[in-house]
Amino acid sequence: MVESQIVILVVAGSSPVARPLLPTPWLFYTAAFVDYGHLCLSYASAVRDASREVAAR
Amino acid sequence: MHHGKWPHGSDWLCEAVAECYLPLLRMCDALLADGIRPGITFDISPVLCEQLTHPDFPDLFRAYCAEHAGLAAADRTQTEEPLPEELMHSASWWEAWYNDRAKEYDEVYNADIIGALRRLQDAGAIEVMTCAATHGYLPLLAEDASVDLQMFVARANYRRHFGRDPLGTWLPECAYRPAYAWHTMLPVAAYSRARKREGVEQVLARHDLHYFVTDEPPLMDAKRLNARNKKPLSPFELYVVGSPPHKERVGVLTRNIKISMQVWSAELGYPGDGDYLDFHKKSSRSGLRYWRVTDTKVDMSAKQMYVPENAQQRARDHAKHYVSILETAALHRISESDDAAVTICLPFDTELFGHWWFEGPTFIENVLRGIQTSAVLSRTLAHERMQPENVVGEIALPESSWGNNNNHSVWMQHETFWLWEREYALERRVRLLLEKHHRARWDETLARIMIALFRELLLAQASDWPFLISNGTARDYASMRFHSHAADCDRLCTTAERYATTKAMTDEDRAHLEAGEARGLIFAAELMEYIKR
Repeated sequence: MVESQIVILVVAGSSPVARPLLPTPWLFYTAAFVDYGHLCLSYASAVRDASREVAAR
Repeated sequence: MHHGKWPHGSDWLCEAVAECYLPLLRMCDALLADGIRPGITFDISPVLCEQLTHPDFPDLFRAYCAEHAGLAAADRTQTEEPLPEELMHSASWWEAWYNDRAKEYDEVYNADIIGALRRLQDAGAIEVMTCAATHGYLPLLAEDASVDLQMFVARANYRRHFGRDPLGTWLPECAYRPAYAWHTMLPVAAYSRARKREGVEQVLARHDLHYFVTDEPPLMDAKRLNARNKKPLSPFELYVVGSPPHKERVGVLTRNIKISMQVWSAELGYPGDGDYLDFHKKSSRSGLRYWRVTDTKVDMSAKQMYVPENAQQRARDHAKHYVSILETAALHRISESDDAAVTICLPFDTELFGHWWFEGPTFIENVLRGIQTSAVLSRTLAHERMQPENVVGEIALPESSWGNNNNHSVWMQHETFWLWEREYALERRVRLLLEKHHRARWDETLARIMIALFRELLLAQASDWPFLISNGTARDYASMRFHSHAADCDRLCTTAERYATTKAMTDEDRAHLEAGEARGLIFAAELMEYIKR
């Protein structure tokens, strides 16, 4: 019964590691998810654009 | 605790503390001292929390270290068969190692492993998630109330030890079941007819747990809830799991099999390297390990002497190699997909680092240092990553585990059918008892009996028992433990029935209840909270 795990989460790419955009703890339902989905997509797109701008400079 | 010392008693826990938890805590502190956030997520099961904080544990651990330092000293000083020069050096090294662990436990960590983890979590250095109360195998439990009890107690226990609510959970054996009309194939009449059951994620959602971990093959067999989205599922992405038409959604991280096997596999992965300490060859006098793996295929008699310095260097080299594998995998995924970011989830049994693979903590520390300096990678805590903006879709995850063939066959097979039949009979009996004698009518004595009864039911549900029976490593012990918890639960049901009817306890009933309480009151506070809710 010595039950224990270690989880290493490795991230790569332009997405932010942690961002207090949405309240935690979160549990979202289907309807809310659609809204969050739009928000995620627009945010991811903005991050990508910003990254490209930085890279271009 | 209080189940003997060896082979299935406190020595096991002491080994884990000496070889895994203390080195991993030391690793976290060393990283922090260098300005590096460890950023790893631990799962510490509620039973393990109770074991590590048991008032008897500190003395047991000190005695364990003293005993093993003494065995090393005896190896060094014995004159019957004097050790060769290089073994003398190893014996001295182990003697110092055990003495150092005892000192570290008291002087650095104040004899409080859970307290050290709590401080690290409070400082934002690590995250600790919870796990089902007694590591119950949730998809196979017959009653939704049993799954709920496992998670209720887990959450309450976490709050008591960590002073906050858990954000996620490790599902025992990564075992998951969606909502559907479930029935058992076993000859248990009460559960042979299909009836609607909650999906595991519904129970997690009810307890405000926002993520769990699954294995890669179940993810690859999962279906998107949005059928119009044809993009193949990937372990590099984050999803939420649901069982339509139910509305609850809970996040899921997916174990990346290819990348984690490089560490898991003793044959193909790093732990089988010839320089590392051999786990199996032990001194016939002391039980201490003085030899290195040498070669995984070589005979025990041909094992060569362990050289700690070489092994430590090897672990650092392997860490560098692993970081390069992670970088390559991440860049490859980014280049072949339109993902802005990738997530690589690498879960391991904590015991792998230090116990099975002695140099594992050095490896993991250097992997974390390597990620820190990588231009490509960063690492994050589970709850930080599992934010809605990082979730790319909703899925229906199939019934699964991380065991053989990703099904339940390790825990439910012909050798364990009897165990489940008896467990189902218990669940049924407890349910009927609760239906007949409503909580509102319990007095203090009946509440006390019910707490003892729930405790034994939880302990009978530990996935360890069918696992140990199936893999044959401790079949007798596991059968004995299951029988004893099941028999006690059954007996307490009888006591509760009798008391509820007569408002009196026989001397035998009282003696049995008190004997159980004297053995230990694990989860007493949590179960009190459960019956009062």
